Amino acid sequence: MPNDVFTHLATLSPELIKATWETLYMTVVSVLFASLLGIPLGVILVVTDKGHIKESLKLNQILGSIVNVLRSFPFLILMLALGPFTRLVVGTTIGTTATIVPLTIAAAPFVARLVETSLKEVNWGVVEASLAMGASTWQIIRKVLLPEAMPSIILGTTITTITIIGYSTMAGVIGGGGLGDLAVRYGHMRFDYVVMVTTVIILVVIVQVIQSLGNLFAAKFNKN
Amino acid sequence: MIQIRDLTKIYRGAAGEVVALDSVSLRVRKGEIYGIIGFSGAGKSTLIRCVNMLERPTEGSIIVNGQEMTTLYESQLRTMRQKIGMIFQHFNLLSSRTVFENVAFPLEISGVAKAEINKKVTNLLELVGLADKAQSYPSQLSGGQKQRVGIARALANDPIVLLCDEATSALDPATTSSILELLKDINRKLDLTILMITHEMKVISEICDSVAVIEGGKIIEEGLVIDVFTQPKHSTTRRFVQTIINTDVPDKIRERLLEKGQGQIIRLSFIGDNTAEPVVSSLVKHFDVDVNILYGNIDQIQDTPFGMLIIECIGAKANCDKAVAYLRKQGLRIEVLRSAE
Ligand SMILES: Nc1ncnc2c1ncn2[C@@H]1O[C@H](COP(=O)(O)OP(=O)(O)OP(=O)(O)O)[C@@H](O)[C@H]1O
Ligand SMILES: [Mg+2]
Repeated sequence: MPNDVFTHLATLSPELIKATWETLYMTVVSVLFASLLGIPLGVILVVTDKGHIKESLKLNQILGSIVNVLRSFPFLILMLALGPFTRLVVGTTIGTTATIVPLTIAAAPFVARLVETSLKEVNWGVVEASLAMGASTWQIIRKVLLPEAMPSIILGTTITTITIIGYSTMAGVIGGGGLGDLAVRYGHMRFDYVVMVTTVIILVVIVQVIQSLGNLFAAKFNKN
Repeated sequence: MIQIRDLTKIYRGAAGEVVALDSVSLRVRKGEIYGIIGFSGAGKSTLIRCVNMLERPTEGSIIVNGQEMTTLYESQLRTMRQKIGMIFQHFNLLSSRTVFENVAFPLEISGVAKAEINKKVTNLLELVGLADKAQSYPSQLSGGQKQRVGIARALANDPIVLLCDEATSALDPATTSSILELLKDINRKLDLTILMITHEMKVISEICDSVAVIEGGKIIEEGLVIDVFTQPKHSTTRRFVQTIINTDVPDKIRERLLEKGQGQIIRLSFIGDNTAEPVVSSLVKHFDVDVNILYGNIDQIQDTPFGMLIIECIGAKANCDKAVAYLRKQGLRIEVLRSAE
């Protein structure tokens, strides 16, 4: 019996490896783009807030509403609804690369809120001290807010990454592939529990590794 | 160096208006250490934070080094702030930066070149006695060391004024003294004008030249520290003075004042070198009276000793009166607490 399992897995290994790569590819690229969008958005949400260094309540409200709306979409629906936009950006609505667009759009507001929370934890006294030294808004963002919040932002990025891995398992719906898709195709539809269990194990390992790396980096940046 | 005129600050909130400062005027001369003392909620923080516009005054004028602060544009204000150092009760150091990088921070802000930054920071850490901690992080320092970093950081851009917001309130007494000494030292060495707020009279007495007492957003008394200490006019001022010098008559002596006795009980107060002892001994010599010293204390504000002595003068009434008349002529403040029978 164990022999059967191994030979079965051996024949499927190319597909398992391919699916693992697809998951990693979708996740890493989406986290990258989501951070590129979400971090500036989070920063703007903080500095334009009441009493902060660049108070602008109108802008704050508008951006806050957009973030809330995007965050309230279930990912599956967002993925389908974004079809036309995805085609505009990557030229197709199906495939692994096409999945990156809705993943990014879903994760960016999530990143923004996490970054917002991290930056709000920065000791306000330090911001005031910087103002008293004549620092500009940009200098405070770059030299004070972001570095001081770095450990917290890294942990937030870890959470984002793990969340995106979760979302990415739904990518099969638009032909995105990945481990989730594999588990559904073999495990759910063909009752191939060996594949199902194996994909789950791989996902668990990936999540564990990401969490550990996140904790490690956060600790490295934490000077408290 | 700093001139504040008719400064009013009103906080408008949901709960209504709070008048934190009510037409405050004061003047800080170049090179002096000016202390502002008041109880909690008196408006001290608001006042000092108005000087560098961390708080926008509702009305009034603030002139620092000839520059009106209230009308500056944002970029002008930033340039001006680089020349106004500030230290804080809770230090407010960047936890993600080393001691060295913290002191370098204001220099980076003002665009100083790397090589110059290295040189300046090294010198500043030397000045505050933390050269060996350059690569430590704030979390690895004691409160006193953190404040030294704060001071080095505040001095980095060669400020014209140093603002201290309760700089020693989070420190123990010994550390407080060492930080105050450092500030005094810097004040002398660099001829740096310092404006500090505190609720501790000890801070005022140890290093300030002038003092203003603030209560309910108003300055209720102001002047040279030695004058305010020895002749406090306002009851709040007296309360502050009493936290460090006991000008009260002790209970034991108070009881004695009520008893009948033949001697006169007199309180002598003195300031400066004009101490009371030689005067007392000459009373005995010249007026044929006996002198009993009941109570005395001597304090020192910076370099000026001052204090009081309560004596009982025993002898013939005429002699005692002559003795008192003599004492009055010696430039001492005399109060007869109990006359002879
Ligand atoms: N941001 C604010 N909004 C509303 N009211 C304020 C604000 N800051 C201070 N106040 C009020 O202004 C008054 C003066 O406050 P301030 O902080 O200047 O006092 P303080 O003398 O520094 O007191 P403490 O010794 O407790 O620090 C207080 O009544 C306070 O409640
Ligand atoms: Mg205060």
